Amino acid sequence: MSLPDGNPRIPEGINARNDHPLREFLILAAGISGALVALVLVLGLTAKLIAPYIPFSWELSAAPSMQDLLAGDDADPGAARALSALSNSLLQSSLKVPVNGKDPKDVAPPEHFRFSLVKLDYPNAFATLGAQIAVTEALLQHVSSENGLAMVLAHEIAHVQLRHPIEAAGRGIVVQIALAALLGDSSANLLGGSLSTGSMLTLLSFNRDMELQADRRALDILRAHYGHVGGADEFFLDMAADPHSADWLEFAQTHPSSKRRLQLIRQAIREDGPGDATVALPEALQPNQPLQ
Amino acid sequence: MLISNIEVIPNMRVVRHLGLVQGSTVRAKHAGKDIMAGFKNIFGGELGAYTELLQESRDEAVARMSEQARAIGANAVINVRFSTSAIAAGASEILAYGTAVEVAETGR
Amino acid sequence: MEALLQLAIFFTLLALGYLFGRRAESKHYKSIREREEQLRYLVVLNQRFPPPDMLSHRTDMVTGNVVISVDYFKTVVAGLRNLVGGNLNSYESLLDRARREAILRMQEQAALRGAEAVINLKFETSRIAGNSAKGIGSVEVLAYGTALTHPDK
Repeated sequence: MSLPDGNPRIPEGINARNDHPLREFLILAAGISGALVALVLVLGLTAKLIAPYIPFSWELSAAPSMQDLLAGDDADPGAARALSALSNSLLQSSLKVPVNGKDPKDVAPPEHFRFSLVKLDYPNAFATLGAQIAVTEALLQHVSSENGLAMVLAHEIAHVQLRHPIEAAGRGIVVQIALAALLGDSSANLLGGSLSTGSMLTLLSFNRDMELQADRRALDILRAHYGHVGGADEFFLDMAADPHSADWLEFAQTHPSSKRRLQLIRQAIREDGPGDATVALPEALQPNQPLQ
Repeated sequence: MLISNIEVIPNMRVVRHLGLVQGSTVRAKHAGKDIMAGFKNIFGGELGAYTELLQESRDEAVARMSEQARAIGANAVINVRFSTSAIAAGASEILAYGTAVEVAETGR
Repeated sequence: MEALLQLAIFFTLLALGYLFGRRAESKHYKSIREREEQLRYLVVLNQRFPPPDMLSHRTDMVTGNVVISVDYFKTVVAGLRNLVGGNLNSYESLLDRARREAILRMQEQAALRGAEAVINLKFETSRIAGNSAKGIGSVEVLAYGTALTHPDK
């Protein structure tokens, strides 16, 4: 028994397979994203079914503050007060319109609604968890009557009363957990970290069905408030006039299928007849400088 | 293929030393089992899924080591050693290595 | 917008990891094979006793270690594989390279002493530098054994 005259020449590919790494990656990525899409679809549906049964108080305690999310300065207090007054009177009118056969008071108690006007230079309006509704100052320059602004506010009120924020948040959390599981902690921090804080608003964006649902309810609220829906299309008409502007793109990001929505609103106006004259904007909300 | 972790095998003599062979594998269980194991950590007890994982890995590592030994014309691997290391969360590496030899019966 | 940017960063890292990782790996394998061929004469075994004709040889402990890092692409593939279960091929090639490199360095050390063989080889693998929480970051492989040198040398 003696030593061999040299180390053995062992063939490659036993301890490390010679497979092409891209092939494995593609198979895995395709399979897992397929499963993930199915999972998100199922959970999205579940979120939709469960959302109406989640007590509103839970939503309140989970809600981040709108100020934190938007990071905008407070607007002129006079204008903010006028906006709150208009919003609250709309809110009272909305209580006359049942939500899926239920009393809106029970679904989202009106005393929890918070309205704010934020100093941001792109026109948009948001509704988020905890019945927080915000309108940007720039939006005021895109409406010419109270009715136009009321449509926007009623739309956001409708989102809250239809429990869309909690449904969207539920879906957002699902997507985030799925991402974390998929990409491992390190990449989830890279990808998901920003999702959880910075882009909460993006996650809270509503889908096409939600927008249309909210529009339908908003029109009902306007009917209850003004007796007609005249002027409801103002904001959309104004925005659609220049569909390539940066403002429009920003708005379209959080509000899908705007064209379809404009059609719906105009149809409602046509069916209801011209209605009475629109109401002028409260003085505090009138833009003091013309649109640039 | 004779696999042994002793150097001198009874009734056998080493005809020829062929050299070092090794087999290693890194394996993971699917996420569901990882999650179940996480729950099990609360209550304690044997983690069946991981016992199975490590056993599978060890079998695979030995199989690869044998494959290397066979490829260089050995009929036994002696002085086999195992080494286990946790490489990533939920995945472990098992290495098996030994000396590939050709043995013959002593005919005693 | 922000999410898109993050996604772009993710895919850029993935592509960079793939291109550089793959190039580094094939280069490394090439050099491993060349050096293995050069040092083929220096026999490495894990048996504990020197062969009878080397009983009066000088003995020295020799070691070889290497710390090798994983690329981003491998981490992502392994992350995906971790969900499904099974062999993590991307880590296997990494460890294979590391282990062979460690043996080579040990052999180089033994060759400097003019050794004829290394016996009682042992491996030690450890995960070091937890620069990523879940991925492996980097691994160290240590190979050590006893070099047998002819007493006249």
